[in-house]
Amino acid sequence: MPTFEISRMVQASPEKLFSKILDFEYYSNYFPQIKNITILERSDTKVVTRETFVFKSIFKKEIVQDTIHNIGNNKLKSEIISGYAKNSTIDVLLTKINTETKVDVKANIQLGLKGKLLQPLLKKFFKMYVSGVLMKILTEIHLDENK
Amino acid sequence: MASTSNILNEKNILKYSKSFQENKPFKFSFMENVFEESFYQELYNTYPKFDNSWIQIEELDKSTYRKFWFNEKKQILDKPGNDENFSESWNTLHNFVHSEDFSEIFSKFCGVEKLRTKYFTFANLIKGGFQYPHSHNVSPSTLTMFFYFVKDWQQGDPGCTHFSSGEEESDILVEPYNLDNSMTIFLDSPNAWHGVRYITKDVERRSLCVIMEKYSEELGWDSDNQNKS
Repeated sequence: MPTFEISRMVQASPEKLFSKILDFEYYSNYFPQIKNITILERSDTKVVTRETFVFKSIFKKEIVQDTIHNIGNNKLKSEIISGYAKNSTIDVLLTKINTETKVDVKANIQLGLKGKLLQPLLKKFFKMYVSGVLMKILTEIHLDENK
Repeated sequence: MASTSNILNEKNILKYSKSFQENKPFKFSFMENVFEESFYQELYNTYPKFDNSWIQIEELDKSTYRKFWFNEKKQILDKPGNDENFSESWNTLHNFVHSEDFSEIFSKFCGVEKLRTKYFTFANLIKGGFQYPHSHNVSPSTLTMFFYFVKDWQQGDPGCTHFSSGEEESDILVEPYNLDNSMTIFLDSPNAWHGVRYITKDVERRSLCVIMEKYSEELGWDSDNQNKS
């Protein structure tokens, strides 16, 4: 199964970044393909979400999946527990380095037979999507700081 | 219409032609003193004010603002004609980019015949703006140019369209820092990587994007024929 990894340095504290990363319901503002994310369950160490995607250019239909997010100290391990990408995992680790934060994202994507056709597309867009979300989170942090 | 010599520094632009056409790993160039100085000042002084009439483009790979001729809401094939929402100098320029003279200059510049202007878009990026590095690869004759209208851009600041050999910042080949009457230009290819680094300062990257492409009455736009057998 394909594993994608990316590291980025971001000019923000790990705490502020992590707070934004955990704001799952806001993700539809970053991803136009996300119709909405609802919280099914929440505790200090675990959040369960339901994501509804609309991939007009690929599937032309809605895809719904549930994900368990296990929350650690500036690290997040998410496992998709239903839908096309069931059993896929995404690990996020934030490490403070001087005034910046190193963001490591590792995704292990499990796709069904139909979904395997999307692997080249996933590979192409993974870095772009992670980088894009980080930049948009950074903008949100800057906006919060200037309020 | 004003004569070519009162609009564009044609001779100066054509001086870069050889280096552009020989550039590796793809054909790109950064040029200064693009417009005739007094005409540039008119364009600079009347560049569309950044307000809520600009269309915000928020996608995962970009954060930018655009404004289109004839008050269009999205990028469509540009056509000649005046738009009273813009100043006389901008109307002069818009007419000029649809002229035979403009086509001849840039056909000569890049070595591609029968170029015609396809898109004319104001592109403004502010703090938080970026464009993830990418290549279009729509046709070998698609020529993309960004004209800049910013004074006092600081050396090393992100925000100008850069050219690169890949999608990492370490892949950047050229990132200009003079955005005062300058332009970046590249010819499309599978490896014509370009992007804009994340803007961290309270600035406006005021620019105009013009995209040209080979066109013939018989075959239409070059990009429309790329996937035909």
